[in-house]
Amino acid sequence: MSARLSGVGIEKNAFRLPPSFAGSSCWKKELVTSGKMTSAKRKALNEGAFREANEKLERSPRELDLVDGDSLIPFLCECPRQECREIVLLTLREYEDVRSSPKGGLAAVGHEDRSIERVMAQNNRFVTTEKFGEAGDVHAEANPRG
Amino acid sequence: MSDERTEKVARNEALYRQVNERIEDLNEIFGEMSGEFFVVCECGDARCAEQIALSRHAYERMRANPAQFIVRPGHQAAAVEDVVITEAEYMVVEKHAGKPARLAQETDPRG
Repeated sequence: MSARLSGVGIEKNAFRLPPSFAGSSCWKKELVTSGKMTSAKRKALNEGAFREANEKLERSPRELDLVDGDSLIPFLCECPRQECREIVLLTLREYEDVRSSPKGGLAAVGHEDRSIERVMAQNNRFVTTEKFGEAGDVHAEANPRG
Repeated sequence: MSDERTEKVARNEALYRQVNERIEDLNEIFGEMSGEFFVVCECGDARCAEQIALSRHAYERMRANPAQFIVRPGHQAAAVEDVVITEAEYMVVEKHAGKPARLAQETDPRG
């Protein structure tokens, strides 16, 4: 099987492969390999996985010719719970506002984790958060936008 | 259904198909590869985000056909697709030949 899903960009099974695997990111491997991680760091890495998925999703409306500044686009809640698959609807403009901060994130209303992030804004569709402390540092370091 | 409406529905469905592909990625990342998992209804309503529980096997079988999408019962659009599988939790629909199937093929993230 190909190591990469077409159009996805996340390497399949990257976390099970030896360290020499060229395409995997360290933070992704840490998600399954480290048992000594602090709670804040693990939460931040979980949120990073959701953020990376959303960065891929942001391209979809453009690829599908659905670009309209006011259209609501489905994104994944970026709360730290691994099992969360809640969908939140944002305009591309709102999404870009969230991504403008390397410590920023978005979550379904009520899914924010105040042990690692503070709520910066809220409406009836989503909350905008900013990580602080170790979680903030980890989140900023793993920022796919550099 | 007008051509314009057909295209809009097809593109919305394709968008949610991509959401579900990202969800499957997350399941892999977090090691949740067995049993049931949740995907999002891929119907043509841009604001529908209803969740559907299904097995990975059923999802992969449906995804292998670029003309097929998964929707909640009642969310199918008879003008552009036929229901090919009916379960309590979901339906698998297949795009009609012609423009609906062509658009589904063109937007297939695995294509």
